[in-house]
Amino acid sequence: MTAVAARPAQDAGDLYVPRLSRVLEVREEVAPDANTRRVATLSLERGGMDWLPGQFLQVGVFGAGEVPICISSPPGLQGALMITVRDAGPVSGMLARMRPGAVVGLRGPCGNGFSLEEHRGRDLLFVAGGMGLPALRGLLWQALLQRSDFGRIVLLHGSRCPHELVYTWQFAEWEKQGVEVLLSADRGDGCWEHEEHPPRCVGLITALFDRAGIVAEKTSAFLCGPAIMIEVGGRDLMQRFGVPAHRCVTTLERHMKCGVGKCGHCVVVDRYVCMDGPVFHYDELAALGRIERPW
Amino acid sequence: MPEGRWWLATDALDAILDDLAGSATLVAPVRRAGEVLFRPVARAADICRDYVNSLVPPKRFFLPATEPLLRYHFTDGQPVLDGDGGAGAEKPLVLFGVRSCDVAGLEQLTRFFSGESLGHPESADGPFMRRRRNATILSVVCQEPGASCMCVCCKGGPALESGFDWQLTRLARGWLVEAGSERGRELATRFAARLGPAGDDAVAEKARRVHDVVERFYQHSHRRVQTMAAGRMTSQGRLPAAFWEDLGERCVECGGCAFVCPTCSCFNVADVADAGTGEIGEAGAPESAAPGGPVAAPSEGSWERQRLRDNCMLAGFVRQAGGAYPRASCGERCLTRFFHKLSWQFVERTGALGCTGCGRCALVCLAGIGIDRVSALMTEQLVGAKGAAT
Repeated sequence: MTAVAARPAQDAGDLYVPRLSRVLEVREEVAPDANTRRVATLSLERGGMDWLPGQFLQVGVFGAGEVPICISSPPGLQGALMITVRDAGPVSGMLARMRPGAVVGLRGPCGNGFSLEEHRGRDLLFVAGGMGLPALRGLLWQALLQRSDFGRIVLLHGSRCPHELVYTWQFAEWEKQGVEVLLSADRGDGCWEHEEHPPRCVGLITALFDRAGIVAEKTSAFLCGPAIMIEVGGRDLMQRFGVPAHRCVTTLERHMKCGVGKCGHCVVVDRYVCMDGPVFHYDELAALGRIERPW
Repeated sequence: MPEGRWWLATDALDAILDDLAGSATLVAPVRRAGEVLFRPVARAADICRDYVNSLVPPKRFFLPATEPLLRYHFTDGQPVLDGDGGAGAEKPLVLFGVRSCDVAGLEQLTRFFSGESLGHPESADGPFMRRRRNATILSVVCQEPGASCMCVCCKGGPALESGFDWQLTRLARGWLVEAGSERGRELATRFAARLGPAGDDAVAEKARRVHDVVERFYQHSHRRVQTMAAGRMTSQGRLPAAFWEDLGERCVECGGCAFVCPTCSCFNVADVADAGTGEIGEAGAPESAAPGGPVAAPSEGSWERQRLRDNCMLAGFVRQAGGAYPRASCGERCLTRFFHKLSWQFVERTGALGCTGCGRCALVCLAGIGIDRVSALMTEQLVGAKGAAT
């Protein structure tokens, strides 16, 4: 398992008591329209917090409730604590519409997080479907902060339609730092698919695998996205390209209420996604899959 | 003389309970509208003595159906924290008359909420652990198996080795008291004047009585939790999807099984406005311009973040915002529940079987799929599979 404990010891009394944090900056990633929900990146007061890429926060809107949201900025960058929220439900809807100055409650960081150590020296392949990219962004940045430790870094990012791609404003920066960015959209908009750069295709994200130059022996893959992408993408990488299961890593998403292994909502077989996950290797998921579909 | 054991006269027990009722909240079984329930009592005379077990386990004294985890209010539109729910400031609790299955259930809840079972002792649940530390458990060994009792199958009774402070066994004359903790030994010291030495004959009588209960269970009860067969089938994922779908077809999704279970502890969390008045106030209704339209976060009123008992059998338990729905069918939810109760994986994680054999789920289930019936169906599957192989 990737489990690396970076959880600060919390006093038993304050397990459910959040600390207040102010929204410093809001960036709209995806503008809402008839078929699309708004996505926004919030920069929050960090308040001395440390975390691992892949860990998440219980983000609370006072008067509404808490939701688990992954931290989308790397711990190694000074000052920034960012979360990217899609207006999916009542609480996340309020978060996605927050203005600078608003106050949220934070608990965490929760979960195990990714470990980059075990992938040192390898090519890193990031496969991010839609809102899966925020969960991988912290890890991607962390890898860039220690760029010389890794071989090629390839980011495949896909979404249903071109304007739902997130962090498009950052692709140029990532490419400058040596990330090969490839994009996909399930359907084009008549314009996007004719642009040259970054390389792109209309179709499912798995269609990009052939263009990513995957060398199985050297590659570690990180997948995050909708359940079907985690399932099919992982199977494709392992069976068609031969990437070993223990080097295919994903993060699971579940309904959560407590984030500290108590409420029971996120249980998959005998694992509590909030404590034992959310980061799982595919070999572990294959074992869980004998009992229950883990995605 | 055996260590940590004493003999207690019947009237001396009542005197001790009366004494405890003065210095602590004494909770004991009482009969209300024909049902036995654990309730605070003022004196020993109010306690119901002729009961097999209570309708619901006394877990509400540790994990109430509703409790605040956090209080806050808004000042000038900004949230201000007023601290946690404040649980545990109550008087010490003495729980008398708890049956072994519920003691075993409480022991398991304690291991879970202390964070031990998941290997994260740093994330112990404050409210639960404060209540647990505040409580003294005086359990009473069963002498008559009830119609739905199955503790014998699950190591949940009739007598236990741990989990209690005092374990009391009714003898032909008086009671045998066994201390199971430091607190129990301190209690014995406090009431040393009323306790007498327990002879080997008293210990032998207890052993004989426990043996008799087990014998009567095997002779007269048809209910069993088939732990070995069910454990094998669930743990190894050997039950076909059709098995679970069939179970899901029968289940009426009332959630009764989990609410009466002494080891079930799942909860929901909700922010409730103007808590205490029992009504959601004006501030509790977020403004919405149109149905499904933008909703503004509230900015006034005083609020509680409450934990509410929840249940993995209910349809909304795992449904996510945005539409993802991992266990959409009732059959899949049945798998989750019975896997948690019977699988070896959970035995390994929590240190004990998820079922203590209290038999309440068998009593309340409207569809007749309590744990005894389901484990019997699993056994049929195992035997059927073996039969097909030979």
